[in-house]
Amino acid sequence: MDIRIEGLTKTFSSKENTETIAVNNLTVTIPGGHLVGLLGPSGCGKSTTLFLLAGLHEPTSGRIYFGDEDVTDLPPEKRGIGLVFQNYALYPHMTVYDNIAFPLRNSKSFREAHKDSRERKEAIDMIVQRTAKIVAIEELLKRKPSQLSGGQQQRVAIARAIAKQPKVLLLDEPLSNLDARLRIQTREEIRRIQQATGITTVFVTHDQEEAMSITDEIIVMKDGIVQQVAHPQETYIHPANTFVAQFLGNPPINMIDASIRDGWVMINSDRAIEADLPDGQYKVGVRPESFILSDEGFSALVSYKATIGRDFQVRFDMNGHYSEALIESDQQIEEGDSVRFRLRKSGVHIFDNDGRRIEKW
Amino acid sequence: MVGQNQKKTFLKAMLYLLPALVIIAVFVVWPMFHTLRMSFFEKFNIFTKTGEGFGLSSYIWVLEDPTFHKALINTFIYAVVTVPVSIIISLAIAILLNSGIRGSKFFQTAYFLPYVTNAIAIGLAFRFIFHSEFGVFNKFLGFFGIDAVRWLTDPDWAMVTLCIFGTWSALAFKIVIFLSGLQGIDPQLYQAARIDEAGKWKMFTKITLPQLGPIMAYQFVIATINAFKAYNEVVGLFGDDGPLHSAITMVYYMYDKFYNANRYTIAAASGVIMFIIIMLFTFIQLGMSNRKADQ
Ligand SMILES: Nc1ncnc2c1ncn2[C@@H]1O[C@H](COP(=O)(O)OP(=O)(O)O)[C@@H](O)[C@H]1O
Ligand SMILES: [Mg+2]
Repeated sequence: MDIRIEGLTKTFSSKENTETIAVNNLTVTIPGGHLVGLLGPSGCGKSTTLFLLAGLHEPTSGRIYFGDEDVTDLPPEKRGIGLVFQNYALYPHMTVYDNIAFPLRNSKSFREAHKDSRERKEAIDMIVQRTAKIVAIEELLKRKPSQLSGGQQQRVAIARAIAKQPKVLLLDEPLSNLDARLRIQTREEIRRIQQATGITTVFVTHDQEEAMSITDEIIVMKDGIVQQVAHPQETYIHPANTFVAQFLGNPPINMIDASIRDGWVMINSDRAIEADLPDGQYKVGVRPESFILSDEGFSALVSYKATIGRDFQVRFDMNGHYSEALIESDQQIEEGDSVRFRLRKSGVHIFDNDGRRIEKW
Repeated sequence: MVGQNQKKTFLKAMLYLLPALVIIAVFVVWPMFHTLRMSFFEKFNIFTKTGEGFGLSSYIWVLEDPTFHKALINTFIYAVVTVPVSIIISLAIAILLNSGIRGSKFFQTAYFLPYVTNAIAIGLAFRFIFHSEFGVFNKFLGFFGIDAVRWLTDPDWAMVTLCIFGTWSALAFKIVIFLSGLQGIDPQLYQAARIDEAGKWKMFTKITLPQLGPIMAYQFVIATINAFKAYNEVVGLFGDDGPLHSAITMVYYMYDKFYNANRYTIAAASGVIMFIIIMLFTFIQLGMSNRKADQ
């Protein structure tokens, strides 16, 4: 089931008469059965978007459709969604079992499907056991949330959200409280669960790596406005604007002011790369891994070198900006060296003065 | 070296605690000891602090006194009625105020006013409300065709009046405590419950009540202690212990025996009995709530 969002806007007005536009005219379609990442820096309106989808916030304007059904005015309990909160929001006084069973016990449709109370109890038990198995918490069913680690709590929260087989699963930065190893393990688990269940899933995160690694599609947001909707790889290879280019990639893209003269991008007064664009000032982004040591290209003075894994991290001046390059460590390069770089086209992006990407390679 | 340091810290701590300890010793410990001693005499001279007839005679006298029985029964009725009723009503009001209804800030202040106002003064105001001829209460009942009740002068109604007033005056403090408890509940639990299709009643029984658990236990203990100590409410409402002593409570009994009858040993013995009763109830309640918390 697709989720269609049309012109969705949410403004919060505070006491000081200031208005925050948390979500600004969002229009996007989330294909059914996909795992879609909602990516952006803290405060860009990700949680608000999720809460709008859940029905916990009322939109200021715009419509939301689940399939053909307009759910904009439906309360959360009628939307058939599962939501994993940023801080899990497990019921502290209930056991893990009761936490997972809670939505089933409340569900009207479930009660109608299982009229006999004994039979219903058995059905609930079966679903709880099965769901617990999916998220690997079978041994924890008798515990209280306070007796669980962050990762276990998170899995309980997912189990609670998927137990009633929602049409849509919403996850709000579900991995932010976990340590690095557990985070990678759990995000793969989320991917596995999503693929096993086929539930249309929206996954909110501010971590680009997280979004890149498990999603089918990424929605990049900034200040409540969608910047780009694309396949994760695509947002990296073809960023729509300077924001997306700078937000994705680690270490980040080098962004410099450069001019184009006679079809050449000029760096440190040298011709750096050919560009079929009219003369003028542009913003040019260069990915750190796109510098190639060469006899030609632009010249630079290496001011710093460090070893990072199997690469050298090299710092040098580029049009008055300190820039960083990742150079494979089999190359000869030392601090103080005067070197020349060529640029790999795929890692170079040229933006107009409004920040839109205009190069077409 | 370590011992020296610890000693120093201890002395310093004692220095800070000294004023409080002195005050507690003078105004709490000593009177308690004094009362206990007094209660074992048959006769006592409060000026010379000497007594005669050491033994249990005062206790026997109190326990056989029909007026004390009356005071004991009244106090129990008062506690059994006002404690749960005031807790239920104050919880309902607190939930209403916490739901962010219009003007809830104003009402939060309004409901707290009785707590900072003198009980005697409020009692005087209530005397007017309960007045059998001119009182608002009877006028109100009149609307529904209910005959006027002599709230303050009919011995059969005095306890009813006292319980209504006692419930009302116990609300303010409880509302404030419940409000702070409600504000401590993570609002996301309610959002999660909405997603999980829980209705209003289910949210109340499955989230609000369990989350208020410790506060509820606290309210019960404090309210019970306060109910057993009821005195201001009685005097504020009736000026004495009600028509034909019909609203006498344990503390009023104690007061009456001390100041009006000058039977100091009787007053002391009844005070000790009251102390034991309150202590027993508090232990039972704490024990129950601890057992519940362990589960
Ligand atoms: N309930 C609210 N009242 C007022 N402002 C809010 C509220 N919720 C969010 N905001 C504001 O809306 C913006 C987006 O918030 P949010 O959606 O939580 O961002 P994110 O989840 O991406 O970090 C922020 O500026 C935040 O301060
Ligand atoms: Mg957020």
